[in-house]
Amino acid sequence: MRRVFCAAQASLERGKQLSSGGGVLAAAGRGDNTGDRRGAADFVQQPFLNYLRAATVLALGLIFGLAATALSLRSGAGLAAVRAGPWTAWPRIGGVDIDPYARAALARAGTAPLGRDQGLYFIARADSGGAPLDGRCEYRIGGATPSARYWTLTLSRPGGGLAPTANDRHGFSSSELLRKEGGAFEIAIAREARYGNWLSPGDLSSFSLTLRLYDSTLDVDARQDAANFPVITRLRCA
Amino acid sequence: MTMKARLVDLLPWAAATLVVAAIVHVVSILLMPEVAPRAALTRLSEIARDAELTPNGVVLLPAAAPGVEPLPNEDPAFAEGACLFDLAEGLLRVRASGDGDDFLGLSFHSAGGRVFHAMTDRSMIKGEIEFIVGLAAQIEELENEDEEAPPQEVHLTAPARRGFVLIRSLAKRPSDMARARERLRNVTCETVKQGEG
Repeated sequence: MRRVFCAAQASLERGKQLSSGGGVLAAAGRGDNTGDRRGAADFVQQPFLNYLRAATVLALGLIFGLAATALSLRSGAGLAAVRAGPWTAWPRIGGVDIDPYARAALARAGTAPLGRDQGLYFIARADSGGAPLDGRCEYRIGGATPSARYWTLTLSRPGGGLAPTANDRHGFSSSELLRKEGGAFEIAIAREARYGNWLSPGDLSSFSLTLRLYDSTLDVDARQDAANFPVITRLRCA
Repeated sequence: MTMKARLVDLLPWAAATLVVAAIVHVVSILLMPEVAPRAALTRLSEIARDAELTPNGVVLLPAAAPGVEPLPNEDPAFAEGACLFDLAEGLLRVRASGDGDDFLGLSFHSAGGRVFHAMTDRSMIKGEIEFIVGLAAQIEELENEDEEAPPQEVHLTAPARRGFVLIRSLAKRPSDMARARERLRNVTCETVKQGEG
């Protein structure tokens, strides 16, 4: 009875030793752990050890593979991004040539993309100076927009969801904007009310801006000129 | 045993781990559209149970508000409707009309997350357009049986049996929202049994 117990304890110990790290595993695999019945131990140990290694490989592979998937889905809507100043678009998400990463990201988020022949949207998460958009700061958006039949500019959470705002307004369309003489426009982003076109980030600490172009003639295959896009200027921060 | 020898001993296992990780990554990315629990089609099927269905077969999506967005990342300036289709039941016929001024967009999405066709009211002929959506075999059969299709009828081959048509109608000002929603009622979605249509 006592002998059996000892044997069980010994094998338990061996198991601990095996599972306590790669270095020990390697050592054990070579059979250079001290023991008086070395040959027999090797005979029993080697296949068992390899099973253990294979299981580790599978488990780690599964973890790393899924981690890579989670990371790549978090980082955006796929490959082939088009950039102009702070604005980024993924023109291929609205066509049949959508890449697998974009397809996975859209499916995960539950988004139905805008068709390529309908328009294109650009997202900005930073101002034109490169600093992340901060809800405590005040911004002015102005300048040009790429040619389009209509465009809208929307303020949302960094992930794209709408946020509660003081005036229940989430964006402007090109046809409702108050414009200056000559057609230039300016949109103010601030927590407190501003004259003219005002968007409030509410209580958000960070936010993103989406510029959606409808029936746009923008050539997405060409290199984009940031001068054709709205400039986001940070004025002051609270 | 030296450290180096141990590392060399572990090298094939590390390589195997990388290979397994790469396979898991690729497979999970490719499978995501099939297994994602909250993909657009699933969301729309859930909404369709409670949302208003027009007599013309279009599900009117509830207006987006913070926290309650029928589909994420949609433009809040739009009124939206959807037609869910399963081509096993027959072809889908979609009719839309536009006045040439107000933006109306139709996009055709397959269950796997691909937009297989998209258009706006700009590409309508005399303010009218009609789509027949079917699988490759259904479209082929359709084209064999009637040679003279009306010029505004567009045949679309869907890459998958299930999917949805998303109809987006722009409200240029918040006060236009009701009118934009009305325009969705002019869109017709109906299932056509082969041979009858």
